[in-house]
Amino acid sequence: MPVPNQRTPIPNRGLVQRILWLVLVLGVAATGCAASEASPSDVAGAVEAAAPATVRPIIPTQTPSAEPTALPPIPVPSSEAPGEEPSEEPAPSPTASAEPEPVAPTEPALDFSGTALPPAPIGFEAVAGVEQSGPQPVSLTIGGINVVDADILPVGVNPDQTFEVPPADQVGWYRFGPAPGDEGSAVLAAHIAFDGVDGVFRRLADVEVGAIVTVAFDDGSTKSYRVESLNEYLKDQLPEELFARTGDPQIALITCGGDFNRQLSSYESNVVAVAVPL
Amino acid sequence: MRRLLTALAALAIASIAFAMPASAQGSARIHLIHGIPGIDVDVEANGANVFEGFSFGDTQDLSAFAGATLEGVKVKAAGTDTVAIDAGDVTLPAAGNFTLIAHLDASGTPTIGVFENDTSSPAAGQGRITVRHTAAAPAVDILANGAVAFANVPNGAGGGADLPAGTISASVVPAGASEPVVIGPADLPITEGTNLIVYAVGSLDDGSLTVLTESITGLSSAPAAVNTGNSPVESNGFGFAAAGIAAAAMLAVTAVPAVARVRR
Repeated sequence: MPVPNQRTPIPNRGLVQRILWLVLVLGVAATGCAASEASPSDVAGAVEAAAPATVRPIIPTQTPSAEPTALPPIPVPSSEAPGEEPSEEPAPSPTASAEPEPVAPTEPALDFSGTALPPAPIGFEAVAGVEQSGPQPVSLTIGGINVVDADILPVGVNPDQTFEVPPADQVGWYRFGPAPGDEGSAVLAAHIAFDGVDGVFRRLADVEVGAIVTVAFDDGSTKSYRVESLNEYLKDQLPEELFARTGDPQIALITCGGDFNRQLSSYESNVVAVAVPL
Repeated sequence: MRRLLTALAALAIASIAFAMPASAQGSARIHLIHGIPGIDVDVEANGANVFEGFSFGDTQDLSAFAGATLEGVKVKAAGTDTVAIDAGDVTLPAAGNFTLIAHLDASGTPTIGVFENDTSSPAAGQGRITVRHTAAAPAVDILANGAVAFANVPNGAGGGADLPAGTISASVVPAGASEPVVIGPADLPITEGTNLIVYAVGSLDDGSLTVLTESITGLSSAPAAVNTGNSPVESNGFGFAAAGIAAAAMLAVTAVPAVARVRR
């Protein structure tokens, strides 16, 4: 058995090998049942981890969990990793709003104050469900392009992970993202035309900068926005930022445009109008 | 409780070393969870108590100490010198997303489990559920919506799956059996862009089996494409015959203004 308080971090090779194997097994087991090809990555907030070609990960504007303050490493008196110490630069400014109290880099003693987090929920009953707790957007009006009180439906994705676009006379609000009014980019998409019938966003490409966009909610409230940009992107270059969950509130209005491919019965581009709160 | 305390003589894990890639000096997210019901503990490191009165479920953020070595880590029954877990020197990983959980092993002995968390993004519209067996109990099967999702999971092991966002009914039974249901059944949310991590904790023998959960959010993916049109429309007035009478009729009655397209 290893001797406690021994200075080297590897006092007992046999035991450590079992532990390392356990860690390895846990790492493999944690990913072995994944239905997708996701694999663990090394960095917290690793939303940019390798993903299949059809999945374009969100680049978050803030990290999903507390961004730690990087410390200069405390020298470990062993030969484990001699040559890989980083430069002796001071700890960078933390970017997350909630974080542990930073440790003074020159102080050898570690400061454990301020590390407490809310306790882990105990019991299945305590696991918070995700409810759409806020008011739901129900209708959309855009000035100047014949969009008047168009019905908004909450939508998700199709089995192929494409945006679940509703029928031609409705607008789909991406329910996994922010609602209009929340931080981040609320996405509303509608057809330009479907099966020969004009969609709600038939004339989105003609919207003027400055046009007023109004969203009505199921509690009777409304929010108004002003179009600030209009752009066209090839379909596979649609910016991921349009689906950002954090950042300044905006609405992204998306439809199709550009050249129409007769063989595929689809458009080559997306037309996007971004509106910001009045 | 008494049985637990008598099992606390010198034991378990000596030194926890992490198989970390040596070059990965970067940010890390390291949480420590107390996963043993019925005992409050003090945690000692570098010769002094760093946490006192640490209760079942309590969580500490050790991310600030990524890459640091905590010397002589001991988990003691609160207010006493009785050592529950003698972990020796613990070198925390310099990068990555990890959870350390103090828990009972299969025979009821306290230990510290180390799990690396999968923070890759599930596909658009999907979330992830991760389950970990950290209870004093034999191997279990974990059922989702009545079907075995993870089979024969022993103490210390776990698994994860990406699923469409929604709700699943989860329960835990002894491996290979359909009853008794030792944990659950309960509805668990599969939240888009979130990894819900469920730990089975406690002891089967003293009836303290339950679950602890933690969530890692912000793992969303954007939809693969936004396909908002499958029929052509007349554009730029070049006489292209628009498909559909409705479109032609609309053009006939609506004076389409010649608006300059604004581009960034």
